[in-house]
Amino acid sequence: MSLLSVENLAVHFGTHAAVADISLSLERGERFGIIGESGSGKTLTALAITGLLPEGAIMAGSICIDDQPVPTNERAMARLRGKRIGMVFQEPMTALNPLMPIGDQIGEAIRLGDTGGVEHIELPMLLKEVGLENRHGQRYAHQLSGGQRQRAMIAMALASQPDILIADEPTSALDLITQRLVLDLISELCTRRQMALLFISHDLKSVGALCSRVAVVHNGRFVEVGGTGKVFGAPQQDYTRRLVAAAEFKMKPVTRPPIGETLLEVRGLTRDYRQGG
Amino acid sequence: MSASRMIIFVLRRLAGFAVTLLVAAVVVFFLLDLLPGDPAQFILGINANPESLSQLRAQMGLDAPAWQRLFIWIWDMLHGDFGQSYTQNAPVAELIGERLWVTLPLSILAMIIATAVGLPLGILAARRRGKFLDTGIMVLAQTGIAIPNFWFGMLLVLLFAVTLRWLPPGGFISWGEDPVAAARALVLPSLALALPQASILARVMRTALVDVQGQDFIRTARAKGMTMGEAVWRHGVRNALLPVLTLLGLQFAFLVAGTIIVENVFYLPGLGRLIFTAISQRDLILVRGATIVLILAVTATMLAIDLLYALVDPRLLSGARQ
Repeated sequence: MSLLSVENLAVHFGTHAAVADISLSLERGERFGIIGESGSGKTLTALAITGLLPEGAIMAGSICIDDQPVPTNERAMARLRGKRIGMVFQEPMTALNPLMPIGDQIGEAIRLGDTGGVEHIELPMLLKEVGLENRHGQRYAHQLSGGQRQRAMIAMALASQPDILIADEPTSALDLITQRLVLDLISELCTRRQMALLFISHDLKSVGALCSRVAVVHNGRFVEVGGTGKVFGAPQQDYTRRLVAAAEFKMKPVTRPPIGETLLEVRGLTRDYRQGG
Repeated sequence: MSASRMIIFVLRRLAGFAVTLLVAAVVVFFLLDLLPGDPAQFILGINANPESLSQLRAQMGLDAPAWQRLFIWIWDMLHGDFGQSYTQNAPVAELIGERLWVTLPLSILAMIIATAVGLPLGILAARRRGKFLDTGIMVLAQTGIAIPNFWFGMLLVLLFAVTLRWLPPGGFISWGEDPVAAARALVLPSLALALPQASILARVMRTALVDVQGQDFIRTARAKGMTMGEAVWRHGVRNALLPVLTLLGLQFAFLVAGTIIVENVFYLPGLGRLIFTAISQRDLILVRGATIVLILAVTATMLAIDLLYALVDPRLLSGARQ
C-alpha cells in the first residue's frame, strides 16, 4: 500500500495542457524529488496533489492517500491537507501573513492539525525543533531573517505531524549558507519523524543530497524517473543529459578582450534605510 | 515592538497635526482677509457715512495690522474664544457648537451605515467573484455612486415621509427637547449621505479582497487545513482592510465638511448651512471659526486613522513596510 499514489495526473488551463500523464508513488519515509526548469509544471503537480490548484485549472487523473481517493469536497480536502500533509513554499516572506505574529500562525496550524491523538503538540516544542527560540514566536515575518522565516514555515508544516512533507523550492529565496542549513533541517526532520518527502526543486545538488528517487519533468511530463544516483549519474534521456550538463559548474579559462577605460566608478557609496514616518 | 518607537511615532504624528492646523489657520485667515467685501460696510449698508464706518471698523478691531489680528485670533481660539458673530450677535463658539450637534451625529450615522452596508457587500462580491451576485452588487454600487445624494434624499422623503409617513420629511428638533425626534430627523439624511459612500466602500473592499485572495499567505493558510472561505476570513479581510482604512478616513472628512447640500434638502440646522449663510452675509469671523472647526475635524480624523494604522500594521512602526 502506497502512502501517496498519483496516476495519470493532468492539469489544463482551457486548451493548454500544463501537466500531462504524471504518475508517481511515495512510500512511508521515502524521499522523492521532482526536478525541472521554471514553468515545467512541478509546482502545479504539488498543488494538484494538495487540492490547491489556482482558479481556472482543470484536473484529471487520480490521487490516493493510503489507497483512498482524496475527497472532492473542499472542506474535507482542506481538513485532510491540514492533518496529513505539511507544505513549505518558496518565498517565506510572502507565504507568511504580515499582520500576524508567527507564533499565532503556527498555533493555528497546531489547532487545525490536531487529530485528537494522545500526543499533544505545543508551540515552544515546535519552535525548538526547527531551531527557533520562544521569543521568535512573538515576532512578525518582517522582523525575522529569511532563514528564520523558512524555519517558521517548516514549524507550521510540522504542526500536524504529517505523513507527507511537500517542499516546493524551499531554499530558492535563501542565500547559500542558509540554503544548506534549511536543507539539513528538512532532511533531519524527515528522518526523525519518518516523514515522506516530496521535494520540488530546480537545483540538482539539493535533490541529489536529499532524495533517493527523482523524476525529471519537462513540458509538464515526467521524462525520466529512477534512483537519484542512476538518473544523475547515467542519464538516459536527452533532456536529463542537458540538465545535468548545465548544472556542472566549471571555471573555464576564457580569453577576454583587454579591459578598456573606466565605464562606471563608485566611491564611498552608502545606502541607509530611514525609518518611515 | 518597542514602546519608545510607539511613543516617537505618536509624537511625530501629533506634531504634524499641530503644524497642519497652524498652517491652515494662517491660510484661512489671509484668504478671507483678501476677499472683497467689508463687514462694516455690510452691516451699515451702502449709504453709511465714512465716519460711522471707520468708527465701527475700529470697534470691530478691523483697523489693526493683519498679522496682529491673526495673532489675536489664534490666541483667543486657543482659549476657546472664537469671537462674536457680526450678524447673529452671538459668540461664534456657541453657534458652531449648536450646529455640530447636528452635523457630527449625522456624519457618524452616515459613516456607520456606509460601513455596515458597504464592507459586507464588498466581501460578498469578492467571494462570489464573476458570479451573478458579484455582478449584481457591482451594478448596484455603480448606480449608487452615480446618483446625486440630494436627489436620492428627495426620493427617500417621497417614499418614507410622504407616502409611508414613517419619518419626518425634514426639520430638526433639538436633542434636549426630544432626543427621539432628533434621532428620527437624522435617519433619512444619513441614508442619503451613506449611499454613495457605501457604494465606494463596497467597490474598494471587493478589489482589495480579490487582490488579497491571490496572496501567498492565503495559500499557506489553506495548506494548513483551511478552506478558501476560512482563509479569506481569518487572514484576508484584515489585510484587505488596510487600503480601506485610508478611504474611511477620507470619507468621514468628506461627510463632516460636505453635508451642506443634504442639510439644505432636509432643512437641518447643521454646520454646512451655517457657513453658507455666514458667507452670503459676509460674517467673516463666523466663516473663519467654522472653517477652522471643519479643518480640525478633518485633521483629527486623519490623525486617528494614522494611529489606527500603527495598531493594525506592525510593519509601519519598524519602517519596513513594503
